[in-house]
Amino acid sequence: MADAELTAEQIDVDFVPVPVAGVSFAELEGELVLTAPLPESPQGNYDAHWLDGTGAVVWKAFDGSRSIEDVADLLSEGFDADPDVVREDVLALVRKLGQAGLFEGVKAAPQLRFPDQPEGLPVGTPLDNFRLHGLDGPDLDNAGLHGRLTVLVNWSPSCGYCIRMADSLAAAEPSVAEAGSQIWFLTHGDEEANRGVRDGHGLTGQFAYADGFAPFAGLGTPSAYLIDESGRTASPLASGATGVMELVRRAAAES
Amino acid sequence: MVGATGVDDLDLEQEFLVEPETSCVDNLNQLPWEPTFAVDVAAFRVGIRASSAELSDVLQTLLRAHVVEDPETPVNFSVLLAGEQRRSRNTGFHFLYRGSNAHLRTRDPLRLVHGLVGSLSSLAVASTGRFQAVQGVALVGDSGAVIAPMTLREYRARFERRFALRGVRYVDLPWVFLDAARSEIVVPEPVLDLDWSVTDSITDLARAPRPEAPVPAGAYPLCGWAFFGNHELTAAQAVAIAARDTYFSNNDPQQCLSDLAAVVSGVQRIPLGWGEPSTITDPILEVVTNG
Repeated sequence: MADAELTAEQIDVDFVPVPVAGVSFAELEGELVLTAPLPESPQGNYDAHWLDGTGAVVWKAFDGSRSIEDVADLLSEGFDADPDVVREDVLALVRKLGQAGLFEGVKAAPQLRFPDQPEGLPVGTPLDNFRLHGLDGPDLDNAGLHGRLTVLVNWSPSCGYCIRMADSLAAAEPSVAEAGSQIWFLTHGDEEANRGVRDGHGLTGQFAYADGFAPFAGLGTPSAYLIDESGRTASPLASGATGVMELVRRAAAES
Repeated sequence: MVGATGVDDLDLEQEFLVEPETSCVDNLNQLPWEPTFAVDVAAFRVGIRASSAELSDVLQTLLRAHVVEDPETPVNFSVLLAGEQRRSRNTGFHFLYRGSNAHLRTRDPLRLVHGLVGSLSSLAVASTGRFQAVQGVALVGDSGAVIAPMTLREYRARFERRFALRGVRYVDLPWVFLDAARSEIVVPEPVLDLDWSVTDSITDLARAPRPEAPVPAGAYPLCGWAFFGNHELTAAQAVAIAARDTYFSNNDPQQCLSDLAAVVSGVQRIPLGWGEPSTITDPILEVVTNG
C-alpha cells in the first residue's frame, strides 16, 4: 500500500482528495482547525492545522468524489474567480495538507516532534546588550553579529556529544567562512579543557564565555541558533549534533 | 504520557522512560551523585539520584512504597540541594533536573521534593486520561490560571521573581492538566503512596531554607492562554497552536478538539513579545491578577 502512495509533489489536478480517517475539525468564526494523528506517533499525539476562511471553504468542498479540478471549477464559478488562479491555489493547499498526512494515498512527510525538547527563543528575537568574554581572543558583543550570518553554538568541552561532532564542525568551518558567515562557540567550563578541544580538533570559530548572556539558559549542549545579519534569531533552537550541523550547513550555503 | 519522552520497547512489565539524548547530561553526570535508585509509578520504572547520601535516604523513605531493586534503571530525575556540590556556584537554589534540563529551581527544599513527587505523580495522573495534558506551564494568581508556552519554564529564572512579586506562582508539574469541560487547570493531589514522616528531615537537610510554598492541589479557573506572536491570533489560530501542544486524553479526538476549542475561545488570548522580561510578564500579570 505504501508503494502506491503519491508524494505531495506528484499530486496533480486529477487527484481526488479523500481525508484520512481520524481527522477532527473545529470551526471558529469561519476558520477551521484540523487535527490528525501524527504518523508513527504514540496514541494521543496529534498535529493541528489552521485554515483561514478561504481554506475552510476549499476543505469543505472535498467530498471524497471531487477531483482538484472539479473543486476548482466549483469554487471559481461560485466566487466568480479566475479558474487558473483557483486551480493553483487548491492544488497548493492539497499538496500542503497531503504532506501533512491528511489525505488518503499521499505519503506524509516525516514530521519529527520532540514534545519534551526545549523550545528556546522564538525566531526573530534580537540578541543585544551582551558582552562575551573571549577565550584567547577579543571580547564579543552584538556588533559582531551584524552583517553576517552566525551560528551561535552552546558548547561544552566536557560534553561527549560536542566532542563527537567537533571534527564535523571543523571540516565545515572553511565553507562557513567562505560564505561570509561565522560560528561562535558560547562555551562553559575550564579554559584549558576548551583550548584542548578547540586546538585538538582544529576548530577556528570564536570561543567565548557567556558572562551573564543567557540565550541558552537551562538548555543542554550542543544546541544552537542561527543568527541573522541584524542580530536576531533566524531559526528555532536546534538541539543535538544533527540540528546544529544543519544550521552550520545553512550558514555555509547562504552568503 | 508515553509520548512525552518515548518509551523503550523493552519486554518488561514496567517500562523505562528514555530521556532525550540531544541534551548533554555529561556536565550533570560529572557531579558526585549517589547511586540511582528506582521507583515504579504507573507503568513506568523511573530512576532518581540525589546529591548526598542523606538526601537519597530521605527520598527513598518518602517513596518507600514505590522503590524497587533494579540497578539497570537509567536516571530520569536528579535532585540537587544547594551547597552539596562544591563544583557548582552556590546560589542557594536547589534544583530538580529531568534528564539534563532544570525542571525546578527553588530555595525551599520541601518545594523541591514536592516538585519531584508532582512529576512522578503526573506520570500516573496522565495515564488515567482524566485530563488533557498540555505541554506548557501554568501560572496561578488571584484571578485564576494562565497557560503559557513551555519557554517560560526554560527561562524561569528570568521571570519567576517578577511573577512572585505580584503573587503569581508557577505550577511545578511537567504538564498542565486541563479539565476542558470545566475550563480549569487542575493540580492533582499526588496519587502516590508517600511516607511524609520525613518532612522535617527534608527541611533539616538544607541550610537556611526559605519557604516557598508550591501551588496547592486544587482546580483553578483558566482565565487566559498565552501565545508567542506580535499580533492578535484568531480563535482558530490559537486553537491550532494549543492543539499541537495538547495530548488528547481519551479515544474521542473530535470531542477533545471541540472541548479545547471551547476553552481557548472562552478565555483571553494573550500575545507575548520577546525582549525585556516585562514584555512577557506584564501581559500575563494583567490577566492573572486583580490589578
